[in-house]
Amino acid sequence: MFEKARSIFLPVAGVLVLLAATIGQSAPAQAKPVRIAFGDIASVESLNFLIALERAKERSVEIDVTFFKSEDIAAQAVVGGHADIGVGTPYALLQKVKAPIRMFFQLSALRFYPIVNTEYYKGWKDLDGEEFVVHSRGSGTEAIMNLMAKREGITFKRLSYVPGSEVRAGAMLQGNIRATIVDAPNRNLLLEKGGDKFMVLPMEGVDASDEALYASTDFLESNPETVDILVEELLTVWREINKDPDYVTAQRKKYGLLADLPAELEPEIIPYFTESAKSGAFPVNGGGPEAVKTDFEFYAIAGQLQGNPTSLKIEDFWYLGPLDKAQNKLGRM
Amino acid sequence: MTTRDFEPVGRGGPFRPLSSTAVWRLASFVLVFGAWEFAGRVPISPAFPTFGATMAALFQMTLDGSMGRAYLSTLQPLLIGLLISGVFGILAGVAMGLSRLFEFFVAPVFIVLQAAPVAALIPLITFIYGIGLTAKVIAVCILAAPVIVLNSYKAVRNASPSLIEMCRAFQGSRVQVIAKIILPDASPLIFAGLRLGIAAGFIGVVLAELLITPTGIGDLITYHRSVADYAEMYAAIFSIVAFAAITVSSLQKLETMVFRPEKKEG
Amino acid sequence: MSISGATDPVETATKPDGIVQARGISKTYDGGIQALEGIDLGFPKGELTTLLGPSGCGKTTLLKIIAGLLEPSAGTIIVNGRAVTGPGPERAFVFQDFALMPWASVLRNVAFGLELRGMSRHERHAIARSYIAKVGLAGFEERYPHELSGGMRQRVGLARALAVDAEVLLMDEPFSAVDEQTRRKFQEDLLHLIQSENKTFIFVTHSIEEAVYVSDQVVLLTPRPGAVSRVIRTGLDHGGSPEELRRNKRYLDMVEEIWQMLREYLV
Repeated sequence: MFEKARSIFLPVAGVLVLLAATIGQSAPAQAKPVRIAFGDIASVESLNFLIALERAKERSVEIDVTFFKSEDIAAQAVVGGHADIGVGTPYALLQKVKAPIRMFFQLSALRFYPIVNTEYYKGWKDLDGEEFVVHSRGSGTEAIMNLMAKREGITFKRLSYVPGSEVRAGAMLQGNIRATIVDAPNRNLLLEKGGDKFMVLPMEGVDASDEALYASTDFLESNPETVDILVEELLTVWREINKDPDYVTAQRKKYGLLADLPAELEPEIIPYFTESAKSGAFPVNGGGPEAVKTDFEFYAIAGQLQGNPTSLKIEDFWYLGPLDKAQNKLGRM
Repeated sequence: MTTRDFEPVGRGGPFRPLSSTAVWRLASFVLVFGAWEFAGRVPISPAFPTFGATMAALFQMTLDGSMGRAYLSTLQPLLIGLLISGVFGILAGVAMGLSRLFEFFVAPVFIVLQAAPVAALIPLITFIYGIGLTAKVIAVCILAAPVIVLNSYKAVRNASPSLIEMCRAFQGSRVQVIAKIILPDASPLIFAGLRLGIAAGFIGVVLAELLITPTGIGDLITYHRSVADYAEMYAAIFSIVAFAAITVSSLQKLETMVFRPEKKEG
Repeated sequence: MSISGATDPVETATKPDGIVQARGISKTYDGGIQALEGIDLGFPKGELTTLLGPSGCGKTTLLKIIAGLLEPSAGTIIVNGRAVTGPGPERAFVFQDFALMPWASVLRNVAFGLELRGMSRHERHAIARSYIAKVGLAGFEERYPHELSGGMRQRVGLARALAVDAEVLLMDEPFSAVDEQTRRKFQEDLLHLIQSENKTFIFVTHSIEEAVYVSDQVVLLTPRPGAVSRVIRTGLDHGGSPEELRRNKRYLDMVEEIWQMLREYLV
């Protein structure tokens, strides 16, 4: 009897969970404050975003940020109605699931640096027929390398996957891998620790979105003031940083952001933003139609988008109204 | 002497209808999958596929070979890790059960490991063992070994004192007591530990494939999630859950067949 | 009636002779509990001696010391003129809880003592089969213990002890886990066995009727720490029919007499 009781318990529990989920889904999602799902933990790299949020709060927008393990999970939270705004580039999600979700602000452009061990490789051509390590299957780094291979006319023996720039950098230092692609802080780390041992390969004209803000069309349409304030403040902060990266440290002090940041990381703030701004990682106009077109091309190569990139429609992925309004107000650059 | 009053007890007849357990099990499957299909059709989330779509994806992935390739790669660390955990785990557990000294030195390690939230240790593994096969094997071992070791240890320590005394009374040597009484008597618990260990090993390998480097099933899950192929993602999850369940229950059958013949009937 | 140790036997003083002798056996457990004190006893060859006493008097402890399963704190057990240091081939034990291996068939259980001695499978199985038949379990060789009733399981335990062909059979309350009808039948069967096997039996029980019914000699032990209170020779003819024996006046008187002695301990 116990056996039977137990065997019936699981399915019943399963049904209850599913029902609860169904009910949770139908609960109204417009309750204040604005729930933002961030796909990473707060760090030096997210200071600019945190500053913009603080400034929006000053304009009486209530904001509740949740940090998720990954962008995919943050996206699930938005799709499931558990968060209003997500951070990431959910092109595949939008195309395949046809969720009523649109991106509305480009936070950053992809800035990654192919780096090789000079003992084995001196340039792009040397990588022909060699193994190369990227973040994961279907990731932006894989797309970058596929794009570069096409441009340079080489083919990799295979791409292998090691998630996390810091993990790949560590593997480079240990000599476990010979060629990979990392973000700016880890590129600096490698060049600093390895000296001549490592070399960054030249790469230009890869400008796709790394992170963007997205929300359900329902939210965007029913909370225009909130969205407008958010976009205006983002644009303002981004422009300030591009003008003067010191802006970040000043604002951080003002709002007491990342108060528990270890002291040894503090000196990294200014170089990171100086460099990112210089390399164009922070778009001054929040994306816009041209950026979206670039994204289409890039993410089609990445395998995130299906079909011919030229036939994709901007309005199926982006909601550009608030950005237009903000640019009209703050001026176009 | 006669046996007139003694009828054997506890024997089932040669012909049995479909046992009620099997009916209940079938019903529970129908109910769960039905609820899944229903939830997918509501849908509870645009990213939640129906049971049918998931099965179709599973079929498709099996046909195009991606499932097979994934298992080929997932099974490597799993099998190596389980083999190591099984062999050394049972040996260490039995040794602990037999020797107080060994118990004193070794038991705390595994008790701590069993209590630890092992997922939190996985990043630590990558620091020490890198990101290759070794790290994944270690992840499997860390999850699988404690329960195997501790079960074997408890099984041996709790072996029937009455049977051990019986063996001694008939002049059984220490080796005979161990081989003919302690180990057979402990075998059900040891095997229960092995089954739990294998189940934990599956957790270990999937965690490793999700947290260290995406290969095999972990890769199918992360990749399909990243490109929003949710039916494929759920198919990969479903397949590893089903695979683990089937493996563990087959082990149970094998154990009864090989080691405890008296449990086959009745 | 006052009872003061082993110096005042009712019928015959059993001199410490016989095939099994206990000389000055005392046992104190690790926890400081003294179970036995100064036991001097002889167990005549070919007879059945019962150790009888209130629960906790150390009868099982004494039996296990004789078996070599426990070490006495003082004193020696002599079997066939040699001091006991552990279990030996001339002694076999029948356990109160049967102690059958659940994973082994009746055949393997009965042959287990021989298996431990390294006898070939063929040989030991042949011997085991004959004893299985002797205890009335022919046809049950391939069954497992959980398929048998309590009485049948104890017959397996008995057959296992018989199979090793020991001179001395040590039986620790062998019928206590068995229902009353089975128990009576078992007692009768045991008497037949004693007649036919010519072995020495040492039997622990807490049942007075059982003790008198099956024994040539009954040893009464005092409560803890157990010491020999009386050694009584029953002088009953165990060869007759069970019905006769159970109605025998001497049998009934002796049960009553022992009860009068034991009841003093039960306050």
